[in-house]
Amino acid sequence: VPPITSVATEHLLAGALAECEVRVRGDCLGAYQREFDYLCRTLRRLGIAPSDIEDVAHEVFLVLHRRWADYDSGRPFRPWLFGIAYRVASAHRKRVRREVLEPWFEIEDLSPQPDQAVATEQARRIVLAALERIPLPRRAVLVMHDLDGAAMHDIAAALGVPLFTAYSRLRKARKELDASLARFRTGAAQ
Amino acid sequence: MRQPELEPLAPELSALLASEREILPEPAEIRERALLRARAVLRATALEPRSKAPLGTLRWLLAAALVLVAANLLGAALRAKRRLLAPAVGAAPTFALQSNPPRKPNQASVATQSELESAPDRAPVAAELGVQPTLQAAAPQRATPVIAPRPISPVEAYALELALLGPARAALAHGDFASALAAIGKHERRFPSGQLAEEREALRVQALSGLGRANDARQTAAAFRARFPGSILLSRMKEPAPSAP
Repeated sequence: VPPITSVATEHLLAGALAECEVRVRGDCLGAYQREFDYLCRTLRRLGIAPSDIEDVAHEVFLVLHRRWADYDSGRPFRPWLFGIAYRVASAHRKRVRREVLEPWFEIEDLSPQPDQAVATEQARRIVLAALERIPLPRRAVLVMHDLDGAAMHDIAAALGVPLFTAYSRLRKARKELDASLARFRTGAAQ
Repeated sequence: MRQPELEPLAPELSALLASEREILPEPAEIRERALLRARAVLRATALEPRSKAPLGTLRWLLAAALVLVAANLLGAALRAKRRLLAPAVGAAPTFALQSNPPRKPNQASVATQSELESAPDRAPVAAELGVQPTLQAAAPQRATPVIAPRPISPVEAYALELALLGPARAALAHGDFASALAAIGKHERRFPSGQLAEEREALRVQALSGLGRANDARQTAAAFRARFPGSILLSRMKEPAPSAP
């Protein structure tokens, strides 16, 4: 009787088991895959240098994977992911003792740009540079609320702070952002 | 609870932040590398043995063991004191001591052992995975308590299933189709609709075919097709050859 399967069992099963593994843990990997761009941008907003983004994103995945059972699927995913990214980014920054301002934040020219795409990119760089001057706990609230559009109670839950503390941090962070941008404008005018 | 009010953002600030709200895609090579690393983690954690007790459980067990030792020492000290005092104080104190309900030997330690035994038990899972649980050696000859089996997590079940199907794969690779079929049956009895049921049934088709049971193989393949119409294994499965007259 000829064999019923056409390929070697080992190869067949190895592929099938890998598929099965993806099915078991697929939600975690799928969520990571879906939100990878968001995660990378969040890490940049939290002050992680572009050269470190890949490694820090992987650290976030490890925590995500470990704590996947804790995720309440009834709640929005991004604030929960942000909470993990925030903690990992904080630890990373402490580890590498990064300076407040880095070369990649330098704004070369603040004059209006003729090309819209260039102007938008310039504005993004300005925002990142201005954010970098805000202490991380307050910056996290501002990024979540004013950039991600997360609700304040989700922010408070994700960062593990009381709701009023989150509000207070947001108000202060906005003032700091305004002051930071004013400093850029003054610098550009000179 | 009343929420504090927030002032709206200044228009200029709002416009500037709007430019940063859009999430641009990361370069494809970075994304691919990141996903490869993530998949490697998933594979490694799925295949690692799950017999180790979590750190929290170990701490509790250590604390329980310390209580056990302390209780034993205390009991021994009290007994020694009683023996020393008994001849000196005469009949009355002896009567007083005897009027207390008779104390079972090592009462405290028995209670603590039962606490130990009522802790979440990983022995069944560990035994099925072929791993010796560490607690068994620590407490020889103790009464076997009646413990309700702890429901195992999906990850533990997955590891168990892998361990059960491993011998089937190995037997098939060596052409030992009867042993493969036995291992497949073992998996089926434990996990009739398990996470690897699909792979098990594919193995069964191959084992039956290897044994020369072409009709059974064909029927199993048909059942497989009906049960898993979207299976990736199906696309690789050849139609069985017609059985010899």
